[in-house]
Amino acid sequence: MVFLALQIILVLTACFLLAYTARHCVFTVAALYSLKKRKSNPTFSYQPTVSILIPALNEENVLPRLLHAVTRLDYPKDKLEVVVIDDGSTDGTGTIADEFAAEYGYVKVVHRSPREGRKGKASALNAGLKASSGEFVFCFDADYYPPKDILHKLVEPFSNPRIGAVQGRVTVLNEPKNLVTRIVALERIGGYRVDQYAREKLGLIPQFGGTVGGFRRKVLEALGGWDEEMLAEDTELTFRLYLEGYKIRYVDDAECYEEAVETWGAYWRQRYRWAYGHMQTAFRYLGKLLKSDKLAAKEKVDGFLLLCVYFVPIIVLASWLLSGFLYFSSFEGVVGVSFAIIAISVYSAVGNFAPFFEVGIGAYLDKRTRAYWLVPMFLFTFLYNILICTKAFADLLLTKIFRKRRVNWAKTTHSGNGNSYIQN
Amino acid sequence: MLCYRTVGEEFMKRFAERGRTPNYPHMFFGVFTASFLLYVYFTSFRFVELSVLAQMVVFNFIFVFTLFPIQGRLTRKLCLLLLGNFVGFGWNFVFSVFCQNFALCSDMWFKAFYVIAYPLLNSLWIVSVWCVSLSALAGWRKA
Repeated sequence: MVFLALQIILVLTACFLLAYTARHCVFTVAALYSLKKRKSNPTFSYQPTVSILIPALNEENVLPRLLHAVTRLDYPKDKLEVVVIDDGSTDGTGTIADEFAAEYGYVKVVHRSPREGRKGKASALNAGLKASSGEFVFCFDADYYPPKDILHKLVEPFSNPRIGAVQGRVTVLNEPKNLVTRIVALERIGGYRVDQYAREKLGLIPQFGGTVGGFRRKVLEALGGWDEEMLAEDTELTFRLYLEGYKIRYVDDAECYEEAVETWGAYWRQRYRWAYGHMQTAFRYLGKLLKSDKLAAKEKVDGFLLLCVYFVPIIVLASWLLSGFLYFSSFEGVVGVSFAIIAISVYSAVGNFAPFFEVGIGAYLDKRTRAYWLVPMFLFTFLYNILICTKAFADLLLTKIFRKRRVNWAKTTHSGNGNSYIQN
Repeated sequence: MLCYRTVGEEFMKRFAERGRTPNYPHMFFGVFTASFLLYVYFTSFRFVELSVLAQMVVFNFIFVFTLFPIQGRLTRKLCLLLLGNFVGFGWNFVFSVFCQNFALCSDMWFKAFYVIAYPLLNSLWIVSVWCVSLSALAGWRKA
């Protein structure tokens, strides 16, 4: 009886993994078959007032690069406001921001003491939201480098009143640095050029990624701003927005450069935070999503799969262990078939959140011919992500069981090495 | 005469555009070829293991729907598809022989390793063949 139950569980996990394989196939095919990218209209003259929020905690290595880029934006300066939130920095971040504020009238600085600040990005953004006044609020992380015309492209979709938020594309600036940055760059290609793009094209749920994007102020204020309890405040806000009946638009040609993590340790900390926060969001919104009457069936399915995406590596691990146990217990039949399905699903999922063919096609669409050779390396990040997600899940469960305070925000340190890739 | 010229121009225009849009005729041809191959495999199922068959279905499915619509010669795509199928069978044959021999030598430990590593190792060829094929086709486009 116990063995039968275990076999049924194994078959169910195999079906779950197959659903993700099918999802990725659909996204890849959708991205590939809609080669004609929607280009922003350069003659479109919708220019509302805009606030750019830049949360910064000890970012002296990268903040000048972003502020220089922001002051060079071709958006009318009388409609632009830049708010730097110095979130209790102990380095020169505050001084750098003050220097820019003194030189450019539309740059403001919100200084928070280490006691007041350092409560995570969501808290800093809420402080920035209070200090800003633009009709639309955009966020850029301090390690980003936006091109001149990005605001025009990001503002354009807001002419539709149903659009509550927009998301631009993230591209890695320091890609040639080492193997970690190259792999992150490929993950970004799969995640944005195929995954987000396909969701936009198929009318599903493009996700707000926390940076290179913006909100309609009215909507953001009505929703109560960013949730400071969540580690993935961007995903949480995405779902709150959809549950209120608003849509998010992904703009593929609004491309912005980021400085990717450069070490496996930093990769672990960043992905751990994403995994933990995403699972927190899943626990909170899975039920509400399925019951919602403001979402179409296809949006519910996509939302469900999106919320559960960080559980996939854990389910793969569980399937492996279960298969191994049943194999040694000399059970044949169902196990053999499921084992084969899991084998394929595992490989389809290599790269965890974007499988090999999704990343490969993304690189092809971006005309990145040499990047394909690194795709088999995703095997190692796949195994690494299994450990990351399992640890995040275990910690989240312990937090829930013992009602402990949530895990603290682990800030990614930026070296500023990306500066060498910018030609002034 | 005018009619021929118009048709010719239209054809050339479409041909030029094909470089920028998915190549549906190639994809349909690919689907037909892959279906034929899979039909052959399924009819000879007594000689092919179920897990190998499943891998072949997935490989052909991914290959046809992701690589046939992109730019490149049809003959090259077909050659790469057939090559992929050969590599798949070759890999599985070598892998099974390897496993049998190792299982004879070190029973318990190898079984444990086999159970853990099987899902990754037995499908390793799919990723490699797919990436090499994409590279070959994209290289052709560059040239």
